[in-house]
Amino acid sequence: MGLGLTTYDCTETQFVENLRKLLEVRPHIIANRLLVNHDDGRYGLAYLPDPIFEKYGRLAKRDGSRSPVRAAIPFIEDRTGRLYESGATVCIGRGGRPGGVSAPYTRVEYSFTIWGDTYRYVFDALFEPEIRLEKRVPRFHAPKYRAKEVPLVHVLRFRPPDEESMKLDLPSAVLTFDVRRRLSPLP
Amino acid sequence: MLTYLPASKVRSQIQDLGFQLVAEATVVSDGKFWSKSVYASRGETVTVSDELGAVTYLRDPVITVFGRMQTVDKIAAFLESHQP
Repeated sequence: MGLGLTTYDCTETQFVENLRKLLEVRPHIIANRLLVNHDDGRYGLAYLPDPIFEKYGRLAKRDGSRSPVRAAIPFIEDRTGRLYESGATVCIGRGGRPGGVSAPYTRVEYSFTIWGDTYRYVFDALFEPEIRLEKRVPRFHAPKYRAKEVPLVHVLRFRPPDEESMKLDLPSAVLTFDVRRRLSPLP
Repeated sequence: MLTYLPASKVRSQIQDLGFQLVAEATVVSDGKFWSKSVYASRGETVTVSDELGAVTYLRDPVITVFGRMQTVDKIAAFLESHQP
């Protein structure tokens, strides 16, 4: 406890307000911004709210949030190259095994450290789906196809979120440093 | 959608103030999904975040302004004029 290395989570409002209070007593503050891409199945299609799931509506259908998601038409997921036939399970809902199609995301962490304690604001920005019709051979099916028989199929790709949407506008007295990763403090 | 003031109205008002849409994203913060729109004009930034999902309570979009007091006042005046 002597080192005082506690990390406190803040909401966006708390984080900005804490910085404002600090600027009343300090001319400059250094804030760190850490962006890390994840693709760990955290935001499976079964768990997305309806307005977001609608973006996948051309490819998949479900009865409601947390219900199993099934392919409406055959499509290939670009990252894995896997082909989902019409009616195949794309993502299992509540109580199911992890896996299936999920939206990758960028975890954005803003933080500053004062008197040994770190205050941070963390949020996830989801990748946006892009659906295109392409000539594409599904992975593991390549030997079946000759070059002229390559089928036309829907392909699901993901586009990283816009930089602007991951930016927190802070006063010029707050110097924002982009960092690659956070290391544990030295013993 | 249970809202006092729909996010679409707020977004259109911000565009009427001369702001341009520069980014849209789905953001997850505090365990909630948000549709986030970022508007910019002359070095000022306004973000409008609307909660998504099975929301069963009345709520308003969250508006964040990084700009002049004049802009804040204009947005505040619009919100006050639409209070229930």
